[in-house]
Amino acid sequence: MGTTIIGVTYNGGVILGADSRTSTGMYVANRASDKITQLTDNVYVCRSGSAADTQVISDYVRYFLHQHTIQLGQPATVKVAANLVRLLSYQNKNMLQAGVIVGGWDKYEGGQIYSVPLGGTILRQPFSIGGSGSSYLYGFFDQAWKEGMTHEEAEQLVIKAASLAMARDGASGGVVRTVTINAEGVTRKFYGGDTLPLWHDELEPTNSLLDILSSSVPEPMST
Amino acid sequence: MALRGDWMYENNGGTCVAIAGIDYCVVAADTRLSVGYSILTRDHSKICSLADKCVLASSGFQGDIRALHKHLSARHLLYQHQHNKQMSCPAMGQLLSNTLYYKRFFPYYAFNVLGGLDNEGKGCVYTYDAVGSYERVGYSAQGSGSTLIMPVLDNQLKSPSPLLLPARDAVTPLSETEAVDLVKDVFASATERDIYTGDKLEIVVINASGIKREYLELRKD
Repeated sequence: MGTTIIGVTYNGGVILGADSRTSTGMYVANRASDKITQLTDNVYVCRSGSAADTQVISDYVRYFLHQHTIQLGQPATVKVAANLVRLLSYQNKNMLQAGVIVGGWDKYEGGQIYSVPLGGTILRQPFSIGGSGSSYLYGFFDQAWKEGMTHEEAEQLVIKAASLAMARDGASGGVVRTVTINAEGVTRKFYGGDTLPLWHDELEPTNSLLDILSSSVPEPMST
Repeated sequence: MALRGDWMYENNGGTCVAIAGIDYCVVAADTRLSVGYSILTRDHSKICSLADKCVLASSGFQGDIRALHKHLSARHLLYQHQHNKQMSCPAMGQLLSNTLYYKRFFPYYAFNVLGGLDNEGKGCVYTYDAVGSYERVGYSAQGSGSTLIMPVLDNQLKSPSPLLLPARDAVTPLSETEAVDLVKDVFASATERDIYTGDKLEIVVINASGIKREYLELRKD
């Protein structure tokens, strides 16, 4: 799954963002994928790597979290969700190809982002990027990231970052999906087509020079 | 064709398509079986009726496909014994995914499209990769001609973009006959441009009255 996935914290919670392209080799198998998957009411995960591996991991973790919530008597924390993902990823590291970003909100720590890349490391970060398109975003975030953004600022940052990566990475594209998680709940948005910024300004249409060539020059291929 | 001594797969080619409608589902596949540049038979079905309301079409390595269809049919029989009812299409969808992922490290070389009616009687199509990642969609094509057919279906079915939010139903408003005609058209075109697709087209339509089969001759070159 060539992809761009992003997770950022802001002053009320977290925003997860992703592109929508799933490619197998040079073919776009799905131009409209949803790479942001629900684990619980308050925890979502951005998936990159093997689609099958990340789907199965998500299914297992959703199942474990469901049981955990019943036994605990209250919503699972983001840390627990991320660690369950990490355990599956680390203990099967030789066989899986899954790079994920777990994000959510709970009443103890507020909004949190946990990065769980290929080997099964777990790292809590104020923001995280992943997937093949993330290569193009390291410098961008170095410059554009700031702590304690408002929701609007953070959403615009995620959209801008994702569209920059989609412009440069062939394996990322389609539309940008975002999921905001905070104390009030979860909001899904999508940005497609004209709503996404362009990065390679198109030239103004100009009249073709062929219009002003003199007709004394014979046209090619004419009898 | 020289392959590694340990290469255990073979691609027998072929294309499968499924389209979901409001109260029907069309599943179609060509019937050509090839190896390399040779045709082994012009008359081999890639479609398996798993349940009353659930039909699977698979393209890829026919050895694995036969085994997979057999396995799923057997599991369906067990299900019927244990639950005293037929498996629904969504249930079979999950079972297929689990079966494929079970062999994550020695996969079934099978590219599947599952079609049928969901619990509400609406058309449903599930599309898979070889290791079990799956998704419910309004239409799909898999196999050697899939890259030729998918863009045409994207264009013709004009389903509300699957990219929209909130998600809108992807089943096509086309009538059953219109959908079947579209399937015939896309296969005729794919046959022209894909050497592994051709000979005959098998079309299966699932609706409330049951499962209906139809055939169409395709180019044999």
